[in-house]
Amino acid sequence: MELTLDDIRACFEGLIPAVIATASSDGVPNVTHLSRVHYVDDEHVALSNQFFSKTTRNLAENPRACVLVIDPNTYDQYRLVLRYERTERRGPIFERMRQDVDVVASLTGMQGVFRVRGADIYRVVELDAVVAGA
Amino acid sequence: MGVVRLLESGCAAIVGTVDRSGAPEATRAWGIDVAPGGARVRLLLAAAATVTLENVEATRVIAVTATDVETLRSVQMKGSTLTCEPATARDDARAQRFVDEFAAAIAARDGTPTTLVRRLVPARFVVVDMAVAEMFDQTPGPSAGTSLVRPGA
Repeated sequence: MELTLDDIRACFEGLIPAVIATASSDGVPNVTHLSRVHYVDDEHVALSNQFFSKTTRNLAENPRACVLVIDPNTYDQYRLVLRYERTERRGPIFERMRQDVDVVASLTGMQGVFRVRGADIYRVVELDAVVAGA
Repeated sequence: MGVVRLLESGCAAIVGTVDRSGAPEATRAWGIDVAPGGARVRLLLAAAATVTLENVEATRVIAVTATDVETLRSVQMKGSTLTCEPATARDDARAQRFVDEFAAAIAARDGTPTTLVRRLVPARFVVVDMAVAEMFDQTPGPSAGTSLVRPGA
């Protein structure tokens, strides 16, 4: 049976940092942790855009990304291949993301440092389980 | 903690590569050792990370980020791969030490049982030798991406 984003909803609770790899237009990869990947629907996820980071610059040049997420209950790991579609600066996804980042910022005393500039929406073009122990 | 100590610790170690079409790929590393002088590092990767290993063969460009589990201090190295070989028994032992430290660090941070973290661990490893060209501060926040001086440079 084909794996769906709904099957791995626990991965999007923000309990374990995710990993994102992007690449510039001239083929230089960049890899970093993400505090959270947000579930949007069964074909899309959203990532918070907070700084003019290398990840952001890469995605402006090359809309493809690869993300690793972990189920906090089982430590099963999943690989998502994404394609950037659009950035939302208002609406329910943006507001949910902003509240989430505000909570993290207040818990860490970093209010004013972490601020959501937009909710980047990605289509999930591949979803695989990373086989543990292989 | 110095950069070399961070890289060689039980850090959260992640790897980015790219194929010839520009598609990026992510995987985890299971141990980093810095060669004397700091210009090269030895990475332990899952032998089953087939897309990453194909990319290493095809384009040789690689990025590696190491994050201290407790403080989130992070550094990213960028460079090129030189060789990719099967792990030896000594490498397997190195990976085991890395996993022990990584799992213990996560357990200390949030109480996650080490047995759960060990579910991520691959059964077999390969060793990738990387030439480090650039190094960046990758600690979460607005300074992420700031250039660092590579150890030994």
